[in-house]
Amino acid sequence: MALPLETPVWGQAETRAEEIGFLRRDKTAQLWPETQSPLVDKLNKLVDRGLYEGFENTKGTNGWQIVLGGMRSGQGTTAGIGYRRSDLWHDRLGFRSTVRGTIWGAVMLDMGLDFQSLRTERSFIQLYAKYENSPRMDYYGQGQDSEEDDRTSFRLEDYGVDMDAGYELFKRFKIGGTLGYYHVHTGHGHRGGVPSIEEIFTSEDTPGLRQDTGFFRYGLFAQYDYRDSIAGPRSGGFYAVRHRRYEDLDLDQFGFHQLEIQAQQYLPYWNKTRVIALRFATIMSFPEDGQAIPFYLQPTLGGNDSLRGFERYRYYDDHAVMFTAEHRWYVFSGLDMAVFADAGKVVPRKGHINFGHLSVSGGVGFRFRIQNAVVMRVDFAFSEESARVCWTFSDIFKAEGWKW
Amino acid sequence: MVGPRKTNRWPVVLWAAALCLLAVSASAQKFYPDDPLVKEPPPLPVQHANFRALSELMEFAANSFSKPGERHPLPHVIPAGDVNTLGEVMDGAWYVNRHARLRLTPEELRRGPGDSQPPAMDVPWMVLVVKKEGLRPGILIADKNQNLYLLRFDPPGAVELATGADMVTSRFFHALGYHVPEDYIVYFERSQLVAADSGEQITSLGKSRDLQEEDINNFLLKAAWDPQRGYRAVASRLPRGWEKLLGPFQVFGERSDDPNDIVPHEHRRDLRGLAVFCAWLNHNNMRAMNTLDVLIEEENVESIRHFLIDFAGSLGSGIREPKPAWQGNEPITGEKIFRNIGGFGLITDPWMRAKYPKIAAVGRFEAETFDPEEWTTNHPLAPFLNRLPDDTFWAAAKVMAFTDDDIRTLVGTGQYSDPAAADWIARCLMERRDRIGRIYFDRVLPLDGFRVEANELKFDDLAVQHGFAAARMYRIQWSQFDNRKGTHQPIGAGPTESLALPEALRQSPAGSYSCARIDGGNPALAVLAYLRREADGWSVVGIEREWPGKSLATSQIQTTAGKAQKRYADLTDRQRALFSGYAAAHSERSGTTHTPEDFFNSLPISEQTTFDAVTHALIHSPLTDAGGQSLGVAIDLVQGIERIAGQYYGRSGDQQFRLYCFMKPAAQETLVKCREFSRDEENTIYHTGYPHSYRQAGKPPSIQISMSADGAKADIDVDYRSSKLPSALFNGHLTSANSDVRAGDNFKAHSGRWAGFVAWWQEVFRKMGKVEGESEAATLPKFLPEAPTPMSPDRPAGAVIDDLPEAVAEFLADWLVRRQYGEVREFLSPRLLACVNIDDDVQNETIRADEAKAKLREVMIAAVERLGRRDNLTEAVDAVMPTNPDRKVVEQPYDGDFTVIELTNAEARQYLCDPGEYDASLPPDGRGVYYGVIFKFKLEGSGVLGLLWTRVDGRWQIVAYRVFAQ
Repeated sequence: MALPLETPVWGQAETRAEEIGFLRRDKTAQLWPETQSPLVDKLNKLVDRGLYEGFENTKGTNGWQIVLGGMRSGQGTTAGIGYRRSDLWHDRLGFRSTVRGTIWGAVMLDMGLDFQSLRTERSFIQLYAKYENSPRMDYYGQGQDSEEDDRTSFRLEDYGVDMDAGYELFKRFKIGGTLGYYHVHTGHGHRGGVPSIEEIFTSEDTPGLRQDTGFFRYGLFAQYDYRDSIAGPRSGGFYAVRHRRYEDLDLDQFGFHQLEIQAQQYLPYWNKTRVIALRFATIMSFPEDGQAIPFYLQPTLGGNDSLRGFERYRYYDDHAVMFTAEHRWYVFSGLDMAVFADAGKVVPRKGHINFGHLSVSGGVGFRFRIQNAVVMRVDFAFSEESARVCWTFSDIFKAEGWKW
Repeated sequence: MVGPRKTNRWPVVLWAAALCLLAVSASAQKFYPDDPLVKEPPPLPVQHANFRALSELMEFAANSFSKPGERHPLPHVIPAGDVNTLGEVMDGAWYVNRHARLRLTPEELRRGPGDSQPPAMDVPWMVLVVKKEGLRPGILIADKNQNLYLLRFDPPGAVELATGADMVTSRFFHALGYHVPEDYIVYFERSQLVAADSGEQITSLGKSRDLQEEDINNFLLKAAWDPQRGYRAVASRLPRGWEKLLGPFQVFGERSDDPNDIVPHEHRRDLRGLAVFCAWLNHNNMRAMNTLDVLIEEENVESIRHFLIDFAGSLGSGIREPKPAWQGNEPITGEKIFRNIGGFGLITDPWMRAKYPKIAAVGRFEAETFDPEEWTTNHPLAPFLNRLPDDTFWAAAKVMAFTDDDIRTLVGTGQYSDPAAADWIARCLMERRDRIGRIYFDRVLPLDGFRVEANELKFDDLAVQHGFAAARMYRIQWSQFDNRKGTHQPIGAGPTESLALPEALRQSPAGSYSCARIDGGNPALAVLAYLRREADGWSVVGIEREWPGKSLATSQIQTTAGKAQKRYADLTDRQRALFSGYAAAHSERSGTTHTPEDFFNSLPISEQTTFDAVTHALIHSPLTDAGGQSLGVAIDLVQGIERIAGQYYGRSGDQQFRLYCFMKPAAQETLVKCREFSRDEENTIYHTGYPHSYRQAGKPPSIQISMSADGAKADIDVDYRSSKLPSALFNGHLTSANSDVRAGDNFKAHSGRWAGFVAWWQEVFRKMGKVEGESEAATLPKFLPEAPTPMSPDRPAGAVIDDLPEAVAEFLADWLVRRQYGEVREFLSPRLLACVNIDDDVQNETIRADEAKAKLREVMIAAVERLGRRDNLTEAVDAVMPTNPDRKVVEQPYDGDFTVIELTNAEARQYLCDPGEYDASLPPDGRGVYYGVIFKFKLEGSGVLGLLWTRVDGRWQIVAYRVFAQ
């Protein structure tokens, strides 16, 4: 018998069965219990708490979780902890809360509730509250002609509570409403080597600067979402429009309404090992009569998610339009690469929204995946103004679709 | 007796042959009367098996980034170990020969492991557990008959995808021979499920709470639902007494609590061949987590049966979605990362462009781009990577046994509502089957079904039979085979094309053996068929397959694989006393009788070195109390040895290279009192069962004694690398190399702290650490300039030299200085060569006697080339003194170059490679017959060589040699 073992020296087998018997008896004399490392239970519990599902739905695993990213760009590397339960109160309530910050003093606390008991197959209700303090926001002045040298820094500190409710009219098509309160404080900036905003700009040329106020905001949305995955789509599309009104409750100076339109389309080929990802987005803001749009609620371009070759928040104005095209390809199961091009501009009037005089940037990037979800992205982007490395813990086209 | 393995020109097969001497002397025949065994002998009872889980994440990390399990010591290979002499896996706890041997009927194929106990539908099922996320989400139910079933569903929008794959693949694996659970496809409506009063919902934190009806509703929201048929699920029946589930089996190593598990899993043919089956069925998700050990009782004996489970990720299913295209084509960690990065997506592989049908139930499954050799599981698995051509031939023959109708029958068990789905899957399986046969039948000479009819050898050429190769002519070399000696006596002038048994064989008596070596025109691809003469004809008792480059090794786990063996006699009295107790206990447990020496010498090398190193350290570690009073030495704390843990491929470092000891009652108290050991952090993750850790003071290496909670036992090892963070993360402390004295510089470190330890396991020309701090009696020579010893005159060939030292000097000078190899040969006794070449057995070696001589010459030349030009003996070698003061050193003029020791006959006997050659009439204590000569080559890092001399026909000659263990 071709056993890779020696017959024990003390055994003289007469048959093959006997030889096997000797080997078994020899093993009998050396048995010991199978032991299990305590790490096994811990890691299996992590999986049972929805580790993989948490990547997919971007909410992380149940229980305590380590949180990376998710704050406003430019505040430093974000890390924090969170707690999530997807099945409180007999699955009637989903809950998630996080605390995160950066070494530069940025802080964010948020909490979300998903009223699953009120959910049917077609409807949902969610509550989301957030406090965020970002001491290193950038501002270059208004419009596409703002100067790079006019870079200033300001603090943006805000909190808000919003309730979203929606209904799926037909498969993948939802409509709904949003309702909430939002309060803002702007102040002295703390980015080193850059003047604070009030040293260069005033509240006349920068509406809302140092004019804290609170808003009541409400609106409607409609979306058609048939992406194959929220956290790392490779096929399908997302088309959405949202209209939201802001009423300035304290100062009655900054009331406006805002229309956001977004379209994402993913064109896979070669069995989704290649994907052409396209996005178009525009935000148009319209002040109420005699009022102005506060600069911190204007659409911006530049940063990790738009016009990546330009600095964060490079361009502010009342209206913005943006295009992105990426060609992504499979490297291995945990990594995709992409070449991309961004184009866009901000304009003061809706009539100026067109394809002329767009700022452009391009580059190459890496998308790191766990299963289907993109968990980290590193882009090397170039433009006429700068070359940048974008490092973020999310996909370029945000999962929820709305975040600009 | 073994010789040094110097270069890769000294095949490991010789080691195997040499070391098999022990086996040969104990079981000196190739075939037994009961060969070939079709079924494993009845199992021994398993008395203390316990549940043990594995971690998906740890398995991924281990399989993807390290190499758990023993791999082939290339260029040599380890043959599969669980096969009979025909190369077939025996029926047993792992595998049962079914369709390929017995031709199951369509009904039997459909039935699989059983179809008589589907969940009863006439009464609602009691839902016992609902698990929404994580590992194996599903619903556990009990039907009215109290049968338990685990229900698993399809993902939304893809009805039949996962459940169909699960069912079909399960039936295939059953037909192939594996143990699989009893699965049923069930259709039901929501009303069929009722929450049991004692039901549990597994929460998002992995805990359980009371089950409510809405929990079932919430679960079913994520299950596919068909408007006409309702929910579809695969119901896997749990065995009765399901509490006897023992967790998954690991794909390498053996289960430590199963006496019947005696073949490392990475060397089982049924697991190596599983690679082919998984490729066929696209079961890329195969891993240890998809297996299950179950304690079953048969004929009042409890034993462990090994199951494959969870096939939802096979065929085109990715479990929760259609299978991503990369699965089955690349592992998770990828294969062509840099090419894909640099290629900017312009370079593609065929699988990227594969075409799949737009049938949801099929997912991504096709045959056009299928390459059985390139196909891979998500995680590399040790047995899959170890597969050899004879393993894949075995598997391919099983696959090819399925006809097109068989395949359609089995695919039908998936109950696909769309005939196009079943048709596509079946056609793909047929094409993939053929590709498997075509490729793997080409790796060996694919002859099978050997039998003797009317005095003629007959067989089937599977490649020809299936149309993969044209008909061919075969050449046969017949021989008579000596089953005891393993030698062949060729018959006839050379190979013949006749399959008729030669007359000489036809006249042979019952019980005799013969062999037919068959090739099909390519001598490198051959089959050896062994026949045994029975009273009424012939039976085929053995099949061996040859392929180009085949060179067998024996598993390093269980043998010394060519390294020098520590002899029991070289242990100190203290060590021997300790070991004797262990040996006695082993004898009692195994029901066998053996001497401690025999038992020690049979241990794997890793166990020998572990015992030696740990006890050596303990003996040389004095203990004192706070006042400086002696408390003895550390070995005094040990009552006895419970177990010696050597190297176990794939197990964590804290389970290898250590002694498990019974401790004396006051041991823990002494450890607390002494200054040399201090209490360390409790062992919470490693050293399971031994929570109290005591570490020896000082820098590594240091002894760690991990005591059990009651202080009665301990796990003792030597840490050669620091345990302190952060260095422990990088220095290998957490690996098995941390406690293996043979690894890296550990030997050097050991010798630096505890003097007198010699790396006796190393070979002559391998680097050995410098020994420092040794006693004078054991000093290795330093390379100091010295006056050359006058060389003896160059005597002519054939001269008889009476004086032993002169003979030795002449031999060494002819070899190392003059390079006169012809004259060197005169000093080599035929007994030495016979020892080097154990036998002419074709099975385990490719070296014959004349080749062995040639090899020996090659080795000697290699030694000289390594040494370089030397003008005299003093420049070539240095004498080495033995540490044992009882050795009788002979004064002689060359004592600066080599040492001559007069041995007793009994001492010499243990160095003989073939004890059968020893003259038993010699008095054991007699002297003057055998002399040992030891020396060291003047090379940095050289080891010590010992030569055993005696007079053979009046001439001084060498009858044995070895790396000398001081």
